[in-house]
Amino acid sequence: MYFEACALPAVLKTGTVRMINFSGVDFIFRFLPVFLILYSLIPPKYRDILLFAGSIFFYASGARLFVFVLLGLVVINYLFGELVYVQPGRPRRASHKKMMFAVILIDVGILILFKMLALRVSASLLPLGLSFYIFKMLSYQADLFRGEINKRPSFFQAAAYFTMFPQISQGPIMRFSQGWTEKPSNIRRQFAFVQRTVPLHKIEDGITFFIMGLAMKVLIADRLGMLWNEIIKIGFESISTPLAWIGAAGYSLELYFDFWGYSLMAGGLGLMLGFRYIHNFIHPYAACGIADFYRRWHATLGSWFRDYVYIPLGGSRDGAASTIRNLVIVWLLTGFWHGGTLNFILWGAVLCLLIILEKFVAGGLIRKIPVIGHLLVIFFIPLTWVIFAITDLKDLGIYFTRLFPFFGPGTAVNSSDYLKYLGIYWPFLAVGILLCIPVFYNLLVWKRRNPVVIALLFIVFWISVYFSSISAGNPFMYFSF
Amino acid sequence: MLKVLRMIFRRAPLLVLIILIWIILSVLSIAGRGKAYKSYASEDKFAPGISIFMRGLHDHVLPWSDAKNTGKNRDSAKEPEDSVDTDKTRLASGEEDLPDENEKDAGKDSDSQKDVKELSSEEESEEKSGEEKAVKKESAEDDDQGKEAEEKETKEKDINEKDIDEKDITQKETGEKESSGTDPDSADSSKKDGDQSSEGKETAKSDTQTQKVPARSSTPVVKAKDYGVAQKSYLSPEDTVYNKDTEGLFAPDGTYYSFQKVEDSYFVDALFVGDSRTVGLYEYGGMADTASFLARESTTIYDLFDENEKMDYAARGKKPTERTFKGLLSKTDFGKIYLSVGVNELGVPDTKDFYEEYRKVIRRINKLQPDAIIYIQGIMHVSKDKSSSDPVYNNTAIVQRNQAIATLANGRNIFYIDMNTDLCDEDGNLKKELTGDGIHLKASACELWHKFLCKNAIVLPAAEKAKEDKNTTEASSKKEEAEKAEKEASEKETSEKETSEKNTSVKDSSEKETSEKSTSEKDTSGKE
Repeated sequence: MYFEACALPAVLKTGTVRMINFSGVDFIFRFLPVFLILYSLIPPKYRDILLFAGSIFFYASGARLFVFVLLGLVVINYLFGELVYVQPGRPRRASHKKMMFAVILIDVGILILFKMLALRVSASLLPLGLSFYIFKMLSYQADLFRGEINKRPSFFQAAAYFTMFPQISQGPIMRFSQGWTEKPSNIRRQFAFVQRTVPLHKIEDGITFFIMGLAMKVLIADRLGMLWNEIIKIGFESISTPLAWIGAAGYSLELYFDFWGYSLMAGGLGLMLGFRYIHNFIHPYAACGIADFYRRWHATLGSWFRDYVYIPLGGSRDGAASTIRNLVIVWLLTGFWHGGTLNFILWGAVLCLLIILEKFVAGGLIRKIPVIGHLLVIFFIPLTWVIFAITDLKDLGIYFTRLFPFFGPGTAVNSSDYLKYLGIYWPFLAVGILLCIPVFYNLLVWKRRNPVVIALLFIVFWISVYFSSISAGNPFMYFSF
Repeated sequence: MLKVLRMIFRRAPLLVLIILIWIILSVLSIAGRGKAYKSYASEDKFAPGISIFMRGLHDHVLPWSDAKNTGKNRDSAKEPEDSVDTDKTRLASGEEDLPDENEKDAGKDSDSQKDVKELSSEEESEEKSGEEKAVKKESAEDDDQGKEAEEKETKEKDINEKDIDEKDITQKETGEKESSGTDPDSADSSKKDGDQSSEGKETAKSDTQTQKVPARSSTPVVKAKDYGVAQKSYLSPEDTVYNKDTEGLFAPDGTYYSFQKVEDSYFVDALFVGDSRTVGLYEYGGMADTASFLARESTTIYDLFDENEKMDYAARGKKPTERTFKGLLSKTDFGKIYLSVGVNELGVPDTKDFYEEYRKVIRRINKLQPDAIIYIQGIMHVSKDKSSSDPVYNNTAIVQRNQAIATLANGRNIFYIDMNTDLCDEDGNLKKELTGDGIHLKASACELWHKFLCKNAIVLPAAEKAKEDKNTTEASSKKEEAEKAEKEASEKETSEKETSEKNTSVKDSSEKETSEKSTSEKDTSGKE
């Protein structure tokens, strides 16, 4: 879902390629076990190479020829990285800076080029995960320049970092230093690894997170996606106002569980490979205020913009005017990053406006009465997701007239339609809303060794595999009308 | 060994459990590959065992299930190797069990009627060189084609005592080629125009040719642009010939029926059967209070008479309850039965199989409700975006299927109606503004469907004929046809002709006229 919003290549939609999809049977029962076995058999010093090779295979299976775009960018960024690298504590020279700007220009140029191609020509021309790995490359160059990386990375370390399959298609946008070992005692610092083998309990944890993510994706997000499809099917002008609100809530939940589920799966896979768990979603719907929401939602992207755009621009240090300017820049870029169409820019602009208002007008009030902050999130965020969802501005306008029916009734509205869809989708909505409350998820993670939780995860896993098999595995059934 | 396992289990119980079940299910799946899962394995050779097991579970097929009972017909249809055999047996059994609708009327005359039919079909295929099959053969060889055309021409001259220009004939041949669905250019819009003009000519010709104007049992299937995405396996093999049920172009009293405008009250005894599109008509077409509906999302022609296929039945203005199609038809009588299925089964190869199943279903309906008019609704096309990107759900495949099922109409109690002309652009794509998802009509567009149904209805009493003729002329969407018809005909009947029906071209019907008249006369006597 989040995928599609970011213009997923059409090839994936046809269902011909299944391995690239974490929730697909081919990934879970073929690629992953084979890769994990190989990974644990070969000596640790070759693991970066294996991770790189496996990731390229993984990427090529889904993105086909775009793998050459990736490979080209990997080589370019590694070579420039060699020139940009500044040893910690050593002075930076002008040549470092020049090289960094040169490679940033190349990376950003390629990103814009493909985004434009996707926008103007065909959405299938956007390489899978391009936005994500380019952002990793940009942060890599900046970190090298800032002297935040202790040791000059080898080619395979850099390449494995750029391409690692758990993160290639949808993030999280991990920093290079997060992939390094924490233990300074280890002399042979390696990307990703200290231990000779990944301890069994880490693999178990990885599986736990993976299953939770899988279930969120397959059992909640994909089901709720059907609700949104129903609304598109009816046509926005003919939905009742209650259904319009249910749709907005459903879409918000779908997006959340799709992307959070994906991040959990990616985090779990990372754990199985010996990486640290990367937090990407920290209960955003429990946030107090819009700005807080975006510190918790897709946190690696938010912190990326903070570290590499907002703060270098001056952040909030130089007074209100420049803060507002910086926020506007960050949010317009965020909008453009999600997609080139006008609705994404509008989405970014609306969020920016809300955050500015919140910061300068309602800030004190929210601090005094936190409930207001929570209510803001629950009311405004789903509305912004509607802007995110509907790429056609005219349709978007129609949807809002259904949400706020002050301009007369729609056409051919069945006023009791929401009862039908509530009747079908209420279990998914209910579970979704429950999981937005942090305590349930936290309890699950905390008690993950409890036999009851293990049994639950076990059952949920097989149900997810069942749904994944019958919907994606069979090209004839990926839609039924 | 055991100790190690226990240690592993203690540290990673979830991992161990999942691997254990995975191995068991995979072994079961591999064991069942030759038997229960045969159809799945051949469909996707590289599918993991787990995925096959789960898909089997979905269709209530377990590894130890008997291969013969692997769920629904659909499964056997999916299997290329066996499909030919099953087709034959199914067809044969269908013809034995379910008598042709002619036979039920004919009673003791059934034998002689059969003879007449056979004779006429022999005449069609052997004696008349201008016939469909012959033309098809000849069209392969260019040299013979001209000769053929000449022969045809002379014949038509004999019959009509009227000049026919050669263009007409070549176009007819094109139409025939198109009906086999193999001509890659079949979707060409330029050809479509040609067809239309030829249709106009045919109308004109037929009007002078015979006092009885042929029934326009169908409106044309809008040509779809071929975007080259259609998977061949879903289409019928080249040179497929459909056994037409269009022989009986005449009504029992020897006259033709034609479509006319009706009021909503017409649908009081109508039953609409179909998939999610029909659900849309029920919910947003404004017909829930006037007609009855039996529909379920994602239902297919293969499911309609499935004992396990419970659908939602909404009797006129009442709340839906679950019913099977068979159960409903054997209890409640309907005057009209509208069928609208076909989009979900596009993924089930191939058109020929779909056609045979459709034929079987129609016969069963006819047997259960002999007095009902059966409307075969052509499958509604999909939008351009959908059609040009989807290897399965595209208009190339839909047009082919429509061409096949249109031949099932007989113009007496089975009619083919196709609303695509009202809903599609000139390339045969569903208009963008009418659909949200590219497949279904938007709620606000369902009224168009309703209107189409009101414009294209059959009213049986012959007394209404005069009025009917007038109305149909109005209903005709093509002005030129209407004008020509008005000029030339004493008895006017216009509307469009379905492409594949051109197989039984006007000439054919005139040649068949005698034999068919006798058939239909017998029908009448049988009834009386």
